[in-house]
Amino acid sequence: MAEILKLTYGTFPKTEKLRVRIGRWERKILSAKELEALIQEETDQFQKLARDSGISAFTDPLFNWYDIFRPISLLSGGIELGPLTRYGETNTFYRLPEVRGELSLTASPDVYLELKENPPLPLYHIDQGPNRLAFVPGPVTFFHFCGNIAGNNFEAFSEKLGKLYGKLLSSFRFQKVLVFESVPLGQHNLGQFFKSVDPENVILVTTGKLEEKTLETAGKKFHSVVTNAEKENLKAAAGHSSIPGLALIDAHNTKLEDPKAITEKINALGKEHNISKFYVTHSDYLDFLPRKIAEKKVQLIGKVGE
Amino acid sequence: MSENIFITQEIGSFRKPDYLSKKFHTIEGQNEFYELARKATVETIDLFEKAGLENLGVGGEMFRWEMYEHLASNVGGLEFYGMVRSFDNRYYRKGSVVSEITRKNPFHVDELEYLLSQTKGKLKVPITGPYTMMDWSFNEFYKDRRELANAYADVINQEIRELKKVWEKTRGNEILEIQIDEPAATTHPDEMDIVTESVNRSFEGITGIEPTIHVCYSVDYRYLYNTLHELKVKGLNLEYANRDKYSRGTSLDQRPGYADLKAFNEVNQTLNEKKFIGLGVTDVHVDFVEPADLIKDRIEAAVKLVEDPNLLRINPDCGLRTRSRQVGFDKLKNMVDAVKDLRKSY
Repeated sequence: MAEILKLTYGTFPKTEKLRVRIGRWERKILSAKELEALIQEETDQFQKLARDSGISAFTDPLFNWYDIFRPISLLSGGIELGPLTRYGETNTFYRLPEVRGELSLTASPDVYLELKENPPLPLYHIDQGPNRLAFVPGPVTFFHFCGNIAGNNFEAFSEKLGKLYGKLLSSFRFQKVLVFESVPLGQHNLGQFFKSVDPENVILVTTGKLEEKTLETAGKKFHSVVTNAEKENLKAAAGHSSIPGLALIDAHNTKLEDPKAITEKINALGKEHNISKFYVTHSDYLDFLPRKIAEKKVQLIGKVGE
Repeated sequence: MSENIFITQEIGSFRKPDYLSKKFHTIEGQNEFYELARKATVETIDLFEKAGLENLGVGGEMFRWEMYEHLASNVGGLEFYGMVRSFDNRYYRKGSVVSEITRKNPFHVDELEYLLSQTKGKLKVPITGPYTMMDWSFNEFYKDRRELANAYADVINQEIRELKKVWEKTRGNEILEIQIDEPAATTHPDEMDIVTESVNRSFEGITGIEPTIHVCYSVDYRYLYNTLHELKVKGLNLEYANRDKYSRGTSLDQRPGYADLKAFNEVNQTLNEKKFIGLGVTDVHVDFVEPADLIKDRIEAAVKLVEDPNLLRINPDCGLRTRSRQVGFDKLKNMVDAVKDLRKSY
């Protein structure tokens, strides 16, 4: 039997109460301070849900992030908000970060700060104790989804982004960071980015095909590399991380998986690949689902391995 | 001068008056709802006619709240678990398909019946397309995305057949214009065969209609153009103004938003029966009211690329419900003025 650690990450769907309050804040009926208090309250409720469900590690639910790039774009010099743009093949839209100059941290990310085009900061609201993770969009994803007006190549951009994240994360006391990649890593050289963000403290969530050569460019083993259950991907993840992770819960479908079937699958994979410890998580962040279903998915992840 | 070129049309939705939008969800389905939706339809038709619009659509979709939800709430097989994010703090109800999709109620018949009782003008009925309905639903039941898209197509086919019967009662053999709205059409380029198959299936076996498709904010319309040999529509009503500049002139440098009509024309020239383009000439996402001379430039640039002015109809990029009724009116008026002026040259 493999040891199974349960992981949830990324933007989590909001309660109706919070959506209504954000609407009021947008219409200037509710103050940013009042909204901030509610975001903290709702974050605490999410932490309780995660804890009560037996989740081993989780990121902030990012209730104050309008999209996965927005607060970082607003905190960085050299990035301007562009038009609403479709996020990949989804029916969700984000404001295109237009990278026009050098990236630099322009404000403290860990304190209250009112923003015009996003609910107020701080960037993260969860407790920063053990098994709590910072969340950042990965360099390949950021590069793919930004408007690269400055004409950076990937290496140059990822180096600057890595430095920005290094400064940003130093304001917090998280021991680990979840780096989220929603597009395949391809053959990008990750070395420049991971000079500033130590792979040993990183859970790297990947999408699609995973190549060993690409992971090697990070220069060190990751704490975890999360992938789908494809044989070659799992082999690469296991070879380049202390604890490989499996994304086995569908974040784009309301159908609920059977935790027992997932447990059996993980045990079979553990046996086949001689792996004794895994993370298990979802295939994407859960904000694509209605809140009620997202909660059930968190709860069922908690039941995997029991 | 020809009045048959550059026919002006709406795409579908127009901002609802406050008396309807504020109460819509609380009174939907009740007598009061129908009274207010009818009142708003009459007022919107009047506004369209004052702007000089030739095709009145369905009077701005006053009977519908939102394109996905309206159809979804009238089919069986869907369960709604809650809202999902579209962007920022905007959400929509996304259904989960949990059993076979069936047509529970007619979804546009009441609207068309009322319109036919109020106007003899040209009409065009927009219906959310099967591919978009599929793409915007969670699929817990069907084997794959193709099967689900085709299930929606069958329901839409039933609806069009009933609309046709209603239409024939007052308009006899006059052609009924049906616009299938497919904003999701090109979001999965490897699924263009599913788009084609399901859209065609929506019209299958129905005669006496003019089928068209509306797509907007595509990352690349060429995926759509490349289906034109198989896609059984008469025309494509598309968004272009959003990607164009405000500078004047008709060269491709000055009109970048319309450049890919060249790719359309290349495919169109190979068809036995050429398709027309419903040309988006006004951006529905900005309050800036494009002056008539800018719209004229856009149309003239398109004529150069499409080669035949008879293959152009003129419309906003998308539904104007995103703008106030006044801005919507002003945009339509300038569009009509541009066309009137331009017709003098043809």
